[in-house]
Amino acid sequence: MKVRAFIADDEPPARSKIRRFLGSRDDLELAGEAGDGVTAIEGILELRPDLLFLDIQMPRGDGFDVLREVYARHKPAVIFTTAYDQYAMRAFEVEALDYLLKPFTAERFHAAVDRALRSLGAGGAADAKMARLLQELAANPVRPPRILVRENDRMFFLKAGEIEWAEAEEKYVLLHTRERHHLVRESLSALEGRLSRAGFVRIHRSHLLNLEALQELVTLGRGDCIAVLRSGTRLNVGRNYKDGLLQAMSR
Amino acid sequence: MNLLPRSCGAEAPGHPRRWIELSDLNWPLVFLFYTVAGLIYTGSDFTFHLAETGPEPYYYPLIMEMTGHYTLFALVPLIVLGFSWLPIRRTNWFWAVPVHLLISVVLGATHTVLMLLSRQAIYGLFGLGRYGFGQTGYRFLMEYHKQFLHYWLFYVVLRAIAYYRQARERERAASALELKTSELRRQLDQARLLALTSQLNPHFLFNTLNMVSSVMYEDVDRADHMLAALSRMLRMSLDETVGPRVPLRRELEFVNAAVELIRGRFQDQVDIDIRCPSGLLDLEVPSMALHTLIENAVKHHRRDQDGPVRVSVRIERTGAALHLHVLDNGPGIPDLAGAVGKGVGLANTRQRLEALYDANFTFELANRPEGGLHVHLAIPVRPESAPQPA
Repeated sequence: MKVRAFIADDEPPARSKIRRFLGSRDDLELAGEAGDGVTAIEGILELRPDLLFLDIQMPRGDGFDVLREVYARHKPAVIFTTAYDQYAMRAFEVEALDYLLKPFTAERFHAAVDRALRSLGAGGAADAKMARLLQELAANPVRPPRILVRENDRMFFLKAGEIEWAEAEEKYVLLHTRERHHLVRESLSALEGRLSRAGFVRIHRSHLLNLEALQELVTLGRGDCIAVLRSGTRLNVGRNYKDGLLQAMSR
Repeated sequence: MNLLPRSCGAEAPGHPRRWIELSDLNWPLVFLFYTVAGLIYTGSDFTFHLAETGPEPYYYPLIMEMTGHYTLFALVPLIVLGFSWLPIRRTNWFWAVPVHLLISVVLGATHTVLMLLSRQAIYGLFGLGRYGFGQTGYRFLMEYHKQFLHYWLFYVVLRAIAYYRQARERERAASALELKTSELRRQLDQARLLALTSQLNPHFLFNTLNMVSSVMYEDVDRADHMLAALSRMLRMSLDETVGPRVPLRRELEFVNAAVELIRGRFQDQVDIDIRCPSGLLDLEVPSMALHTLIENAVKHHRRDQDGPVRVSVRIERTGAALHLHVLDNGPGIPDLAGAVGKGVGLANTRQRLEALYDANFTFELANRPEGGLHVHLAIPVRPESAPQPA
């Protein structure tokens, strides 16, 4: 059976070059391709390819966004492709992950594919590397994190800066932006972990606040506290979270 | 819109500073000095009498010297004001010194009168009898010898204080100047750095090379064309004779080559339309500014959501200002207020503009009502580079 490959790259000529090289092999077939992050996520989750050619810089979610969203549910072998991204290249080197620097030759392409096919048989080791890469990216984000929102028939990334505050709703979290709110299936603590470096502070058992959106803190009697947002929204500050909030504000 | 030069704020006027002013003296210290001097003279007087005529109650010399010194202290402000109003200069000494001699005589006489009055008052108060001041005329003359010396010694002290103050001010001004110089140097370095980073960005370069390497397999002629366009861009960005400002003609040449390559990379997903009246081609613009704005528009476009990228560039001139408008159909910027500070590309552009034009430029972003972003850049037309259209 042929190995099914997926190409994610925003430039048509870049895709067509990989397509051409794939076509010269009889052990590979093209399962699908995508020109941006969100389309790639949808395509990969639907088509479940064995091998993924993943460009780093793409609109609507870059290669790392795609990987983070996809990897929990489907683990293809991944060959990163990038034209120039020093940070990403360093991360790949550290984890000894395979990547193709554009423009690449046919020889280099086939060598990478051969290695990937071997790792498909081996399993395990590649997964661990990828997990470490994702961890590393989460700990040292290159840019403010983005949260993937799935809404009815569409998906999109929400920039951390667009979110004013987040509210726990049982198994979900409600992300409040200036105009509307979006439901994402994630725990508030997990979200806090991803957003704390982007200036978000837990102010309540079920509230996570973007400090940028905070207008002022109003102290009521008995040490109770209310956070007033620029949008006018008023949020209770939990007693156990007040000190943490004050600390974050003075930073 | 701010195309006018920044007005230079004048210093708050206030009265001009005199070479010495009452506030230059540390008055508690002056008071302490006269007290100590009075006490020392008391001791000297007392021992003088021991040596000459035998013991005498201590309070006689004490009253004499303390009244003498404190009344002198009371007149010190007048001495300062006198020298402050009439400084002695190389140009006026021949009349200023006599005037000061006159002042010293008047102040001396006043001092003598004050001494006599205060001593009489104290003698009366403590029942010490009448204070005799002997022959009045000689008394005034005797005191004036000392007052003359005091008057000019005090002048020397004032000169010393003024000299010290000026030296300190010069030092402060020098360190302020040094601070400003280092700040300017830093800005210059930064401008140089920005000029460097405004060269062809490696991401663009390698993606373009990748595109050419792909097109090569399909259409050798087209690949050849692309390589020629890339070479034009490389040649221009390697040209070291280019300053931070280039004629619009050159910037457009660069931009057109870039647009051809971008079209090659994104194919029918981009549509870039540039219009510039030919009369403006010799005007100068910051190098790479237009290129950066177009690159930005393409980069932030959400292709399948907003449809193909449509960028429209309009260039026009009104009076002494050259306007560049870059309009796109992308997502716009939701939070415009915070945008210019955050986006690295836009912040860089703004910094370069500040380095080049100080505050004499406009760099505005606006979300278009029909969707997309409108970037408006207005820069002054430099007179030497722009013959006024006839």
